[in-house]
Amino acid sequence: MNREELWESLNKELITTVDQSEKTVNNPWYIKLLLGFAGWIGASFLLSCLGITLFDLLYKRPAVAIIIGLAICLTSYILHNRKLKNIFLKQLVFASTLAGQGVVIYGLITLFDSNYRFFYLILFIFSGVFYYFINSTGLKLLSSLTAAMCLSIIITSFNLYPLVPGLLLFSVYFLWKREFQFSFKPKLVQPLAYALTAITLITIFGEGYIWKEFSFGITKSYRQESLYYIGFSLNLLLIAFIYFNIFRKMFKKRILIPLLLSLLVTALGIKVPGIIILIPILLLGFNHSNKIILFTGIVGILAYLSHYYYKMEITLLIKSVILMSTGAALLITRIILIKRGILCQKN
Amino acid sequence: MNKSRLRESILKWADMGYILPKDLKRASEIAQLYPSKRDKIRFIDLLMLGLGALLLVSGVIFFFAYNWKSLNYFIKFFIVQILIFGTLIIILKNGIDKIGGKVAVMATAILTGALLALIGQTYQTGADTYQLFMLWSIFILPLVILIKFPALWLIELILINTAIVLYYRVFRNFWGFSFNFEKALTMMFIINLISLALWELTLKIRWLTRVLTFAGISMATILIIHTISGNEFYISIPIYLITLAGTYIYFRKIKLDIPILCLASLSAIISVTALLIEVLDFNFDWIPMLMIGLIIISLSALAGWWLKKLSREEG
Repeated sequence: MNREELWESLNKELITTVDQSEKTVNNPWYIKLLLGFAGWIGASFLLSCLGITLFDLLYKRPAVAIIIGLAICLTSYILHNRKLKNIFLKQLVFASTLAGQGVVIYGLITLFDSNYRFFYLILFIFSGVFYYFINSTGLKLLSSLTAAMCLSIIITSFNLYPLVPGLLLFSVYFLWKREFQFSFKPKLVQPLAYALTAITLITIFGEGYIWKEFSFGITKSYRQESLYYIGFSLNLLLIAFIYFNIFRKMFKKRILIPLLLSLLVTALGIKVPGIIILIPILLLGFNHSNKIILFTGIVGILAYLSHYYYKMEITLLIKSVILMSTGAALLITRIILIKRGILCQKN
Repeated sequence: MNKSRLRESILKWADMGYILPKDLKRASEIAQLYPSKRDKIRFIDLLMLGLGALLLVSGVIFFFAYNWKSLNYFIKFFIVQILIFGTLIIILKNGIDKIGGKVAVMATAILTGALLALIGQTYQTGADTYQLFMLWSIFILPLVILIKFPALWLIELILINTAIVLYYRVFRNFWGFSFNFEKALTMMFIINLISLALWELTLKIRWLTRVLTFAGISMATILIIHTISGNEFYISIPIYLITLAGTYIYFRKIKLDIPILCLASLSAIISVTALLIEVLDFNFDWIPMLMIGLIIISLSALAGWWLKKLSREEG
């Protein structure tokens, strides 16, 4: 089915509000990536230019930096809402906005240099508001990346870092599953979902510790220890919930089997967290015919296995037993399912 | 048409108000964005097979790594050979056309490397590491040609490239010539180019073509940046120009492939930026910064305009 055929089918079903679709073509993701990446390089030069010209004005004057940065962002918001046709202007506005955001961040760092938690909170709010209002996929993606990173750091600063992977996976799962169900603003969901997927990968490869660098001055008190275990338990609960949902769809009208299977997989996740988090991402990619997410899942699993080899917390013997038994269990289950006629083997 | 592009169209129409948000789910069903039950079953089958085999083989490798020093070499050989024997039985049972057979061939190819490494370790052959990878790639070559499985082609190429890099690390001299970074990269570029040509003449599976072209363009870009940043390796200039021209002619005129053209455009933008940085004198002056920023934005806008035009042509 091509675009025109799809439009005709939608027309026949009477779910279109106009007779003919405007002759606009969507930019495929790779063109967006090219424009975004080049815009980002361009922005770094513009930011340097801005930094050099306004150095005397901005240096140690956070309020001025924030005002100038916000003014640039506001101009960008107005221009983006005008739906510019000229691609050069679009790129210029994109790069200028990034430079503007850079100036705001510089201002915030200078202003809250003694209170990091508050800095990340303000940056999270700023990125969130920017994400909601700005009419550009690339800028939405970058803002949501910033916001997700800030939130992860804030959670970590309360010693709840074991919660981060589960929370991210839950958000990714929730957003992709409801990609077409957010009725208020359809284009709002996708960039956030992609950004959260990317942050999930970063967290997996950092083994949940990547944000730990930001656990500012946490002492080993009873309260902090308790918070760690609360985070750990909530993380497992979220992962179990996602797997329960996946298995529930496979075993309709049954609750016990999905429940037991999800608990089993979650228990496995304590020792092999990366694989357990990447499998739902892989399944989401397939279920939504989204090649980027599918590819992310496949490459993520392969990369995680080599990363897992060097994980120091458990011995190679335990790792090998876990991997071999899981692999064998999967292959045996497959053979049983084929013999019972549930899986067809005509690949 | 690509399903992700249909998804983008639906979202764009919804954004423009052509489809009401409440009808989005129905629209996605009409576009058949979600796989059918049959596709889901096939995917689960493939996932269980692929992931199961991957975890099992990884577990075996981890086990060896744990016990390696304490194992008798007879046991080591026995284990590796029994595994190869097992994969051969699977190949005989399934044939090489089924996915199960192909996965088993891949496992055989990987285990061949393990066996070669074991031989080298046990008999202290004195061979260099590059020889292991070279022999490994030679031994599995018949399998690669026989089953024509893209993933195995990729493994073969990774092995050859690794052998070249390791050779370069061991010997800084190659047939009397000084063998350095740029020459190693040039050789890898040539081998990848030959593989791409062979691949395009035989099987033409798109994703591998893209991977090989990605590798080729990346290598040519690294070489040209290396030269721009002051290293006297002028052969990289014709290599780079021919790569870009060849990419344009083949993937624009003969066989349209926009993602590859997109990559070539990005490479050109990066190279021009590197050239400008080298040519313009920075000295913390705002004028060159502004100039470079604006040139990058203009070039990317131009590339975006051209690629969008091509995308519209492609439909």
